Amino acid sequence: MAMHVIFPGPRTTIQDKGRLGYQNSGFAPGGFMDRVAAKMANVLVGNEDAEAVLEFCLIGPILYFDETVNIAVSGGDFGIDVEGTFYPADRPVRVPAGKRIKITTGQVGIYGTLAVGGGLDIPPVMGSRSTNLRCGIGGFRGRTLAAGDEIPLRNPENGRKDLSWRWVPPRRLVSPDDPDITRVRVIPGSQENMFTPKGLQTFYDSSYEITSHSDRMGFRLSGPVVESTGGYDILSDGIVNGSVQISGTGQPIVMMADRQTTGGYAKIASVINVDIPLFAQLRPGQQVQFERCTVQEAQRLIREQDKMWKDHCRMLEENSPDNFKPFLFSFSKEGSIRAGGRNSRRSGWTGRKPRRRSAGRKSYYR
Amino acid sequence: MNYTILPVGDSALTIVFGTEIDPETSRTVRIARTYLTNKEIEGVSEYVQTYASLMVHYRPVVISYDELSCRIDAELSRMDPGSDQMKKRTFVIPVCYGGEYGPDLPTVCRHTGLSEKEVIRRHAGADYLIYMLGFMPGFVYLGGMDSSLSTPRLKNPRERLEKGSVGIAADQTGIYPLVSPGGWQIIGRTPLELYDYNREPAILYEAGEFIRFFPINETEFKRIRREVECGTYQYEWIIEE
Repeated sequence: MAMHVIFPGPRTTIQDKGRLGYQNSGFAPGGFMDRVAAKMANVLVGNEDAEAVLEFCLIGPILYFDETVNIAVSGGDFGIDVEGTFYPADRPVRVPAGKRIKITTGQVGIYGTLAVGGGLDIPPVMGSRSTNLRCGIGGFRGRTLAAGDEIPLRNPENGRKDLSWRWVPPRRLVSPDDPDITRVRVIPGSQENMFTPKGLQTFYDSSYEITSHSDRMGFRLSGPVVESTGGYDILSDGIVNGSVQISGTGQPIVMMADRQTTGGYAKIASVINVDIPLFAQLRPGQQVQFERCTVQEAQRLIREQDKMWKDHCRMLEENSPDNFKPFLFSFSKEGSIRAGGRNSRRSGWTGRKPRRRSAGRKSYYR
Repeated sequence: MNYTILPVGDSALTIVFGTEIDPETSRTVRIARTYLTNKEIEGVSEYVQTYASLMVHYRPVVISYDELSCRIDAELSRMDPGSDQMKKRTFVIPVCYGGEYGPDLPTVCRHTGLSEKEVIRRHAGADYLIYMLGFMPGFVYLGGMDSSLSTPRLKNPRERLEKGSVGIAADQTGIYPLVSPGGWQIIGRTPLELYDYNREPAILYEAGEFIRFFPINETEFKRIRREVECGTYQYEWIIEE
């Protein structure tokens, strides 16, 4: 009753919704980089949406289970190769015991999620199963996965259920209007007065490249220097998921799940919550451009997304193989779950099943 | 009491009480943190105290920024910032100074012109206010170091500082609760586990409390270390009215 790791992938960890409530002691919550992907994969295989999943970075693991299980991947253009048979992301796949599973990488997305039906039997540490590499706690022995690891399954009974009739329309991570630049909305920060009008204009009018110095702690960007009124240092204060700091060189750093809880660089803005999953999926070399948003608008989007998510979960629960109708939410060009328009549930998706295999994965996502 | 409330993204806000590192401002931040925590405002998930501001993390599906900022205004208008009934709590941290545990003590002596004994006397002779925790779990930003001990950081940071390392960086002193790279001048080490996830609470102190360093020798270091590992060590607090 275990998942066996044949090849772990370079940076594969176990993550859940994070270790909440310890930021005043200096603990960042950690948790899912792409919350939408993790929740999606979880509910497809019948888990609670906050269940711990495997999170891999670009290169996924090779595994086998000694029990039949349902699994799903999400987070980008990843796929599941079960001894030569290919299955796309965002649908459950029932994998017979002993079959070798390889996660394949496509053109889009970097932080993939693999959910296992019934969950992994990992003891929570300080209320969470998330791996905190810095402290060496949580997840599987507080570290990235390694070849030979055997991770016990919590409820392998799940594998008896055939869930393969479930699917969701794939999430679009690339804008059809401008595939080269991803637009991400931000709320201007409390330290905006640290920057000159020219600096602010540079920040909002330019696009920035994701550099290879990007990881679960933060994404370092590269582009035109953001001019400050006199240095970038502030009296250290709190940092949130998505805080955009401008470092001493005038370049932005976007703080992510494993960030520090406090910091001393001026914060120009914060990425809105519904756009963080999209931002997290940008690969080094891709371009981002920031757009201003108000806190009121950002919170309206969060509430809308929350409602649609609950409807989606209810529909998955209520449907059965005979009368399956996927919940037809649409995805905005920003790649976040949200209503696409007043009639999006009826007209946004035609109810076709996503084509399997050689459907051309490019068109699948655009 | 003057403060400003500002949004920090869509799931947190900050209450700014000042712009300087100052014990009075810090005291106000701590009082506000305790006061608001006791109000148990629905939708608020946690408070993070920093030098001069208090960050409030909340769930916007439960409470909006506009609602929460009004609620905080109303609560803070009823708070009496002078009504601080909290006792001064000082956590005692034994430190073995110098030798292999404090390889940079000679550098600090050279830079300050003080003898080893005098550096230790001055470093262990003060109560340090914990302004905030951050950077890594249990890492304290302390105030109150004798300015005569001020020594610049190492030019080349070390790849590995042992956990429990006590150091000086310019006008600051602090302790590394975990193994980490770092550029501080290391003058000693504590045998205590400042952070232990198996312990409740995992981190023993919080912002607004004080830390005092207590010099020990190597024999005592090893004895305390054994007691810490066995779970029999009695942590020492000084509580004053």
